[in-house]
Amino acid sequence: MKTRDEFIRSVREKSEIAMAEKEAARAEKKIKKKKIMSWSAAAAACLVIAVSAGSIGNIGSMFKTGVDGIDAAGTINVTDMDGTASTAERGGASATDSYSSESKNLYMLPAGIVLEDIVNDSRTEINGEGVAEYMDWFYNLPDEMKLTTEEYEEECEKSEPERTVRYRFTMDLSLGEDKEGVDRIFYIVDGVELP
Amino acid sequence: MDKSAQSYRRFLDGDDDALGEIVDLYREGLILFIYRYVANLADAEDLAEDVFVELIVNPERYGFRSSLKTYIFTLGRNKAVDFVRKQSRIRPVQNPDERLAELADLHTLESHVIRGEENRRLYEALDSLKDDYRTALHLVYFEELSYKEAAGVMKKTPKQLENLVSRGKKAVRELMGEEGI
Repeated sequence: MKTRDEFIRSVREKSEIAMAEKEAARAEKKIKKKKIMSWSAAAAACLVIAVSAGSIGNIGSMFKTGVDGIDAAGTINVTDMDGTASTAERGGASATDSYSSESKNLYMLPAGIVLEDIVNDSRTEINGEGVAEYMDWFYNLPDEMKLTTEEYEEECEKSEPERTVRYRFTMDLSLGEDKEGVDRIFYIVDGVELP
Repeated sequence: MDKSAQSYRRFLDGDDDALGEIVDLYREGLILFIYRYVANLADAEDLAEDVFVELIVNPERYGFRSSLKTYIFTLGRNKAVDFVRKQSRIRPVQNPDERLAELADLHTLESHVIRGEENRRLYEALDSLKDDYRTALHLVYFEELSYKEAAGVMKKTPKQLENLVSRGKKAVRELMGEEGI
């Protein structure tokens, strides 16, 4: 077992590493926000061009099916974009790319869902038919009741949090045979009724 | 504001030595508390370090709303529960020398935290109890937290905590005979 001084030294060393990681994460978050803003503007410009070219029918189908990286609300998932026009032309929407509060039915079902009750340390895995029910429940929750990981971390950093988070909602997004599954995590506030 | 919270405030204001004061107050008790979950002294020590790292890296999460001791033990419990959940079911077997060294360290640690023969017997009896009873009694009797504070650490209501302590005491009485607690 470490002596008191060794213990403190180890705590300080770990803290320095953790601080550096925290700073790096902050910097990355800022860059991501900038990218989202610039790509949103680009998406809006694309829509204007399409409308002026008279392709209203095509826009209708775009809303219906979604375009890789661009959701129905016109925002872009920067993780799916490499910054080239060809990326935006690829078809097929991922589960969360196509979500917005106005387009509840556009999502694809994830392979599975894990609902963790953070307060009571319990965990429920949802697979098969239950997934659709939980996805409907999730998308019908008001926006202010679900937080992204970034919003959750911001909430945690507040000295007096405005919302009490109760559940961690993890979607396993298996994007196809050639792509590995990716987890998308949201946090849900206390007081909601489960399906 | 309790003494340790004052030390923490001084640490955040730039007094580096104040961290040592907090470590002196809670290190051993915290390691022993975490050990009851993870059953490995090196892991318990590592997780206890992570608790103090959290105090340094994310001070805004404390906010001086509860006692610092409650906050530290809450972090300790969360990290221990996460660790147990994540760790592989297959653990490397300790060699006999390491195990002996760990037991010696554990004995020293226990003798610092668990004072008196009666407490010592109670501490040993806790091994046979359900996790929740054991944790509740440990926090109330050995860390001397109030029911409200212990409830905060265990994410229970004070009433639930009271029930756990009461049932835990009953179980201990059955184990230790009439002497009990």
